[in-house]
Amino acid sequence: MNKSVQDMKEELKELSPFLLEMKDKKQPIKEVPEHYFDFLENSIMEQVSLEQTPTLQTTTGQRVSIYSIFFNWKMGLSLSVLFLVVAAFIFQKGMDSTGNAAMQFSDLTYDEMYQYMNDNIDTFDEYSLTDEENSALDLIEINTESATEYLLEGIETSDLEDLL
Amino acid sequence: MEVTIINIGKVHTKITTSAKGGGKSLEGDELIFSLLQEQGTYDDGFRLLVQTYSERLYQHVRRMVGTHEDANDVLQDCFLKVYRNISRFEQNSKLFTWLYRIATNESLTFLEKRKRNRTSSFDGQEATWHGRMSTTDNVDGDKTVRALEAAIATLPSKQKAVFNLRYYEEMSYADMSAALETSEGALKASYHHAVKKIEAFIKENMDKL
Repeated sequence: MNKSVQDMKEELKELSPFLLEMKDKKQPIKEVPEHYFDFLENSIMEQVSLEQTPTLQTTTGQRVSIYSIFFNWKMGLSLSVLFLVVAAFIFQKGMDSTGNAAMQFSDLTYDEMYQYMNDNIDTFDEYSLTDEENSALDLIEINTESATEYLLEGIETSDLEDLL
Repeated sequence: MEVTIINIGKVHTKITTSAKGGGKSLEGDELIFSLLQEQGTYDDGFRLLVQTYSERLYQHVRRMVGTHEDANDVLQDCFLKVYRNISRFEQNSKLFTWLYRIATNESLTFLEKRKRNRTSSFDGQEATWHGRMSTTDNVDGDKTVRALEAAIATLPSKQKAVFNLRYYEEMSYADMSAALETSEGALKASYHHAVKKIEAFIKENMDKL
């Protein structure tokens, strides 16, 4: 008698000697129709034959998917750490290059900047030379009506002698 | 790799593999796993799994659901589920506890469905233990066996599974814990409670049977 059965009987003896006695007297096995298990086996095999055959994943690495690698916690942790290190390196590098560019620009003298702009004036268009966001031209819509109103207002407020 | 399968009765199939002059003999679960790992021998492996475990699982499912017809339906569903999910099975746990887990879950699902159907058809009336007894078709069994079956039928489904695995299948609490995904302490408490209820039921109702 194995240990599990022995333990179970000792436990039952303490809990209910009555049930232990019943168990020892008769262990009821459910009756099954004749050849039932042959029928069951064939019936199941017939049903599974219609399905796509899966395969047991081996531990020897024959059919290991990317999904299973990712969900292996050690591998997942290693990949995450590696990703963070690479991301931190790229971010740091980006910060350095921006910082260096700013320093170089501030090192230029006014004359040097003026000279550069004068030499390359053709390459700038008018919008790049104005502060577009604060441009009054962008904020006021000029049309005939508003222009006439502006001029009349100017005439009223101006001293005629100044105009002559 | 050369594979030789030797059939020595249903459960005692052996396999001999040889590669580069070496050979080893496999049996039981090891043999089943070996066959399931190859596409070409997968169905042989599955057939062997069915042969090896169908009788044990049948007894468990039959005790859970009562009649042969219901047990047959549940067992077929159970093996189909095994076929579809065997690739997820982790070989560091025991195959038979995994199979019992599937069989128990399938049985519980079946019992839950049956309970819902009965509740609606009986318009909320609770089934009596006489009614439950009719689902256990051991009419030829002796009085004490019938009393025991009637008593088990009064247990809630999960407690019934715990009692059956311990009392009939003689499973250790560790294996039951793996099969039912419940702590050993909770299983022990549930089993002890079930034993007390069954004993009280039999003593009270023996004369009525």
